[in-house]
Amino acid sequence: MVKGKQTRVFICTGTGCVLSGSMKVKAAFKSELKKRKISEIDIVQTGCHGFCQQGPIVVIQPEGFFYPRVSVENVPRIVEEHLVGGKVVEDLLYEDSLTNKKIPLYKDINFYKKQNRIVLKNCGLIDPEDIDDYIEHGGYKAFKKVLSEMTPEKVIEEVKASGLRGRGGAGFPTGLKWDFARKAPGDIKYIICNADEGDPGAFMDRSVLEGDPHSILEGMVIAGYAIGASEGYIYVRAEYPLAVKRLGIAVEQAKKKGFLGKNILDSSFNFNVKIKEGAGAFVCGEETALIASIEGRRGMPRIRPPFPAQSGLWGKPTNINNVETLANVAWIIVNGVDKFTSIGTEKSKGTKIFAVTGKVKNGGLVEVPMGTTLREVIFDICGGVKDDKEFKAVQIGGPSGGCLPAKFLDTSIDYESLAKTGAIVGSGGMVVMDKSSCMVDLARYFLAFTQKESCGKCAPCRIGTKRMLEMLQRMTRGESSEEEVVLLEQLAEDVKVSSLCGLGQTASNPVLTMLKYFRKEFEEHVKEGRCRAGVCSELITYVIKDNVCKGCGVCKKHCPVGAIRGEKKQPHEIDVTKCVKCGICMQHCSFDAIYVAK
Amino acid sequence: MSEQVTVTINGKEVKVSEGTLIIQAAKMAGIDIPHLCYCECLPSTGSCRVCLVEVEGAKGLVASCTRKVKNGMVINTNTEKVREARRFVLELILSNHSGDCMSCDKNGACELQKYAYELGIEKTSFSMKDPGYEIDKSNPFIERNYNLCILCGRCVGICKTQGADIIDFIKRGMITKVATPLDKPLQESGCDFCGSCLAVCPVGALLEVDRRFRGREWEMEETKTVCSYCGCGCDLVFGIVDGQIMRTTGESPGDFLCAKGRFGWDFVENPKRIIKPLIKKDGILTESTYEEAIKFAAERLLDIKKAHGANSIGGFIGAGNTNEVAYLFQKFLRAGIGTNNIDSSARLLGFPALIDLYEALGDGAVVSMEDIEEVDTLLLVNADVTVAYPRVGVAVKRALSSGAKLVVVDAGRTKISEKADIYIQSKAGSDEFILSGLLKELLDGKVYDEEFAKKCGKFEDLKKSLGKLKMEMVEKESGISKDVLKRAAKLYGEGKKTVIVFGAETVSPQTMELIANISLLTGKTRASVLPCLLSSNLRGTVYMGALAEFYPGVRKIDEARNDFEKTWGVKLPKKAGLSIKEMLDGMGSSILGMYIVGADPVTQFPNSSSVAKSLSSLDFLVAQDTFLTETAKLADVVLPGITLAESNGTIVNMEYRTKEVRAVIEPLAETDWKTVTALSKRMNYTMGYSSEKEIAKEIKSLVFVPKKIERDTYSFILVEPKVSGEEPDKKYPYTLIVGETTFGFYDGIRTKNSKLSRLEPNAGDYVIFNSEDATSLKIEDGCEVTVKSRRGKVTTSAKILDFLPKGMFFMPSCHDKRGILASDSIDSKLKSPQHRLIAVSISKGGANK
Ligand SMILES: Cc1cc2nc3c(=O)[nH]c(=O)nc-3n(C[C@H](O)[C@H](O)[C@H](O)COP(=O)(O)O)c2cc1C
Ligand code: SF4
Ligand code: SF4
Ligand code: SF4
Ligand code: FES
Repeated sequence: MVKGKQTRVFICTGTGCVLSGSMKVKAAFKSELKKRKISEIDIVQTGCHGFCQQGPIVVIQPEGFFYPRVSVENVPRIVEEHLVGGKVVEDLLYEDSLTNKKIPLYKDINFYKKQNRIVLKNCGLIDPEDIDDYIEHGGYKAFKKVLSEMTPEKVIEEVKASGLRGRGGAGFPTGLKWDFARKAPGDIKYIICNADEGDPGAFMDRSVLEGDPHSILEGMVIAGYAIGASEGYIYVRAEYPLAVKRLGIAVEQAKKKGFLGKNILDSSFNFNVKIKEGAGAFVCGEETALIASIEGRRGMPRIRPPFPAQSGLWGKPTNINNVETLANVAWIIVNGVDKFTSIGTEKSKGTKIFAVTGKVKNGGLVEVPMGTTLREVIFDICGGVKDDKEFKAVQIGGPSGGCLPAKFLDTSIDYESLAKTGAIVGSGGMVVMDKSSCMVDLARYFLAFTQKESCGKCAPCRIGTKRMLEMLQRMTRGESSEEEVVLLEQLAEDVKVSSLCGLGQTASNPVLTMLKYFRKEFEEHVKEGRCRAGVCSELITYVIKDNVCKGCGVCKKHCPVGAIRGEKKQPHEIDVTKCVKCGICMQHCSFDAIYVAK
Repeated sequence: MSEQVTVTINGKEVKVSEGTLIIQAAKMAGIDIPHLCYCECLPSTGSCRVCLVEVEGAKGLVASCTRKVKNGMVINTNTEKVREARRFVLELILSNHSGDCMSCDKNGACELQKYAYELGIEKTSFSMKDPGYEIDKSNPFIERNYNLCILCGRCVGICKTQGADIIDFIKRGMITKVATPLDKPLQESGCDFCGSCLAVCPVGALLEVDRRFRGREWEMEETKTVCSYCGCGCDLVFGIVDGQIMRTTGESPGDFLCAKGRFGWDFVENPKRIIKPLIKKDGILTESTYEEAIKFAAERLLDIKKAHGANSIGGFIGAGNTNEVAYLFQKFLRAGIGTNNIDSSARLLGFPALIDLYEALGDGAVVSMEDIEEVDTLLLVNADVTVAYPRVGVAVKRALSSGAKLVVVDAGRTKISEKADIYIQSKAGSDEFILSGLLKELLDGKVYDEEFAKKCGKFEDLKKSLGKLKMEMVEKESGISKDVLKRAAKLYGEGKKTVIVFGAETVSPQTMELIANISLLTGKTRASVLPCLLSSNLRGTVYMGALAEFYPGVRKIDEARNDFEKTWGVKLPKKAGLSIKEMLDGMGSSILGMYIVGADPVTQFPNSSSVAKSLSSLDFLVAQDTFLTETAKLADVVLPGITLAESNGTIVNMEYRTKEVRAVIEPLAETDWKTVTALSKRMNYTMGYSSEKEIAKEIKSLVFVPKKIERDTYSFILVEPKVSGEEPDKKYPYTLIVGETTFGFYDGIRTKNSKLSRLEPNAGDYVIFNSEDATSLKIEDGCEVTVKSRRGKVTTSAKILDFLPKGMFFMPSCHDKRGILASDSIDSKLKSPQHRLIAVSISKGGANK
């Protein structure tokens, strides 16, 4: 039985799903439907659903049947059995990792059930290349309301009252920032949307840009109206070609519909948006560097004050906001301050999106109310640690954030609580780690990133991160000392207080938190030359003294990589090419036959 | 005045004006906060983090070079916390600064070293790393050692401030470095070698190639004097070690000097300098004693005077000597010998324009470089400012960077024309049409200062005559459409604070008058112009009376004779003097003896073959110069001259500033003033000065110090526009323009004998073709070409560059033989040749073909 007109096949074309083959799946659906001469069923390409680990994702609407990991081979069956036959294809449905039960509907999946999607509300549900779809879902309603009923001051008041804080990392109150820009003297002002998203592993902004570009435009025009700007820039990294493309389409469509341009909706308000592609340097996400980059100069931060609100783009008052921040604005206007403030904690209102990656079962994009605990995100929504291994740590806030051990799992996610631990809410990166991650190596990894991305302007950041990195490299090679661990901590503190911009000021956070919570691991590296995770394989070698070895075989049994050979009662031997230097053998030998050779 | 605020620094209360940086406020309180990236002459970047201080109530430490004071601020610059942070940053920097202080030229002057010492850093806690860069030696002047660079960014900042803006940070992280955009050598990236980056670098990362291992800064004896190249007359500080010139800088590190001012001084110590007098014996110049040479020269000149009268002798002097020497020179000729046959290079280099300007506007209209930096609208006429008068170029660029508008009228696509809002690439020689057209558009568009214009004489006549001017004719002669002129007139006329900048040696007297008219018409509060002068003391030379028609003080011969007879105590000649062209024409008949000081007419004067011929026909020629010039080669006696770097005295620069010149080294030869007085004494006119100071005193008592004459009534001048320069015809269909180049200077005698020659290819031996002409004449880059004029021909090589419009060619003024081509016909009034525009033919290949 062919269903009515409203049956639509939503195929995710977010970057994650495209990479796992959703464009081929889309083509397969097209040809399959054509082959069967079915024209009543629309195929809609959507933005990211957030559940990227399960891509390519196909959702059959209006009911919301959810097919994960759809391959081209699956397509004829879905068409035949589900679309034509009206029967859900059971074995292709999503299976809950805890209960092993099949879950047919999108909304019943744990991953989505516990989320509260404000910013991501449209992602995966509308066609991002179709402004009408956005409007049908309530788009531009907020803007129309603002333009017809609200003074700029009133808009700012609302945003202030909502308690919305910047989602770009620093968490500065958005309404206050708008107020500064509005009150700064000058006729020409600018709005900038910061879509640089340079944190490795983060893709929150990309998903919104690709899945719901109009929500950002709407936020921008409202911000423009509020502060008195008539021009806006979206600074988006060039590595996001799909986002650039969809933004371009969105701007054109918004112009045609009269939401952008001169005398918008017959008012005296003018606003235009330009898209500026960034070259993809992490530091270009820092607001003053970003402004320099738009102006055609090298993206290098400068001292603040003056803040952009006083002197920004081309020296004019400029309000710069993150993608996610802006995408909240229309929702607040439409749903009201009270509804927004009812979500979140006392000082952190609304939701926050996290890109959960690493050793987690169901990674992806997760939008949760502020105040949700880390445990809820990692375990309840994302299904816990992969292969049910033991949770070791979570890194929040990317290379500027901190790394927290299990004892903080019940910490509430909000600006204040996280800051107390040494981590930050940050832009939304969340990397889950199990025992196989070495903290020293991880610290090295993050520093390698920040030091490479340091703009090179100020000495503490440029040289300090490099020296830290060198120390960490020595630690992972067992060439370091306890004194150096102390020096590293001191250096990290000094870089933090003396650097010029946020990059240097936060570059130490991973190291500092790791030293605070996982110091023992550092000491093991430098004192014993041991990496318990077995990651730092360049560390010194383990040797079995054949005159002491009794050939009991305990070590052989415990070696996780099978690097130990030997007959019972015969001296055993370690194969250095296989040994990962975890030191487990040495811990288990009752005869002290194993030693570390430097 | 901004408001005064009170702040407390280290317990001390200081009052400073609001908006002062903490580091500055501390300095006023006598506290030096260590700093590396901060430099007073540059905008702060806050990048080194050495200047951190504690401010009560502020979060963390504060960079004192970027934070401004607030009333009641309490600042501590030397707490343990501050010292700790500072030491940390310095240690970090040191850990990446791998050099050997022992052999670094900067040792003792290095700011990093200074602070490391002050903070007692013996060894950095971090492992020292050698960045392992190769030293950049790709240009002839500035060595960049990346291993020592602390990336303070001062060089980047100053390069921007000086308007060059060619270096910046490239790459990121630890491999960040300062370089040109594509990391190409400086000379391929538009660097003009102002060397400012050298002057601001706090460490040994930027060093002058030729100074390496020859002396450290603290060993230098410093003397302040004035640059003797162009008429900007920049202040220079010479650093001398063991009597040798080590370097030059401005008074403060941020002061601009051009490549000549910075690197062009080794000519002073060039072994080719004439140190001993030469007397021609059997056709060969042979060394003699000073006494013998003076005696011989004096006797021969006396003989000629006795036999043919004083007016058979003439004198010619360059425009780059001190006022004192120029004054003595003319006094010697007038009072000692008894003739007014006196002329100077000023006549070739803009003196006519100055006289005209003086008559039309008075000197009060002349503005200073600082004034230029503050105008909102500029009109540049034939002024390749960045090349010929570099300091003016910087002033113009600074005005532009603060938002000024620019109209450029120039046949050449100069560097500055690229920054113009409106660039009028007129045909060479059509300036008078362009400016007349602009005048008309200013009037018609009503964008002029009516109130001021009405107060000037002949305003109605001007309106009438411009009413008759046909814009079609302007378009035809200049090749510029009237729309462009209309836009330019509007832009310029609407300026609130305007100035006209022009090259004095490049404009015709009529052009000068038109400039005066525009200036009066748009005067607002007053007329304002800057005539750019090529010679360092053109004004002084004129002012000192080294010209046939004026006594010192620009006083007319007939009017002032009595006064000067009284002071000099002799009868002075009544007969009007001859200009250089007239003297040359009379050589061999009416003119038999010549005394030439610091000038080389054979190279400098147009139609040089005939100049050489004329000079050869003299009975006796005395040349006094620093090098054996073409003129000196023809002399019977050559007396050694000295450079300005060895002289004491004064000059007057283009802004009308009198500046003191000081000898920076012991003169290598007898000073010029002594030689003139010695010669005079031998010719029975004893002047009896014991020092330059006494000469200066006499000048002062007589002609008062040169100063601007302000005027209160003005009048427009009616001008019928004509094509200036030599008119092309069938046989000589093209126009050759002679002009300045960045690394050459005028006749090239100094630049070619200095290390600047490393950058001026073939010492100016080329002609620039635009690509269109090159194609039609089948000329390739570098090929041999012959340029022929009505006077002679020159074989040189072709360089293809789209600088001039079609049909026009450019030859550097330092080309040895450009004098052969130029026309020496002079205008009747000011007797100056228009020698920079020459009608020529051009052919491929050498002259013999
Ligand atoms: C090194 C560095 C990188 C940054 N990258 C980003 C980024 O990619 N996206 C972003 O929105 N903000 C980024 N920021 C924060 C911005 O400087 C700025 O605070 C933010 O765009 C303000 O918007 P918000 O108030 O909406 O958060 C970065 C900051 C630093 C120091
Ligand atoms: S010499 Fe002058 S133009 Fe060249 S790089 Fe240095 S500052 Fe810039
Ligand atoms: S070369 Fe000198 S002035 Fe330039 S950044 Fe390096 S240390 Fe600073
Ligand atoms: S601009 Fe002129 S006066 Fe100044 S340094 Fe250069 S040549 Fe000398
Ligand atoms: S001197 Fe202030 S940061 Fe460098």
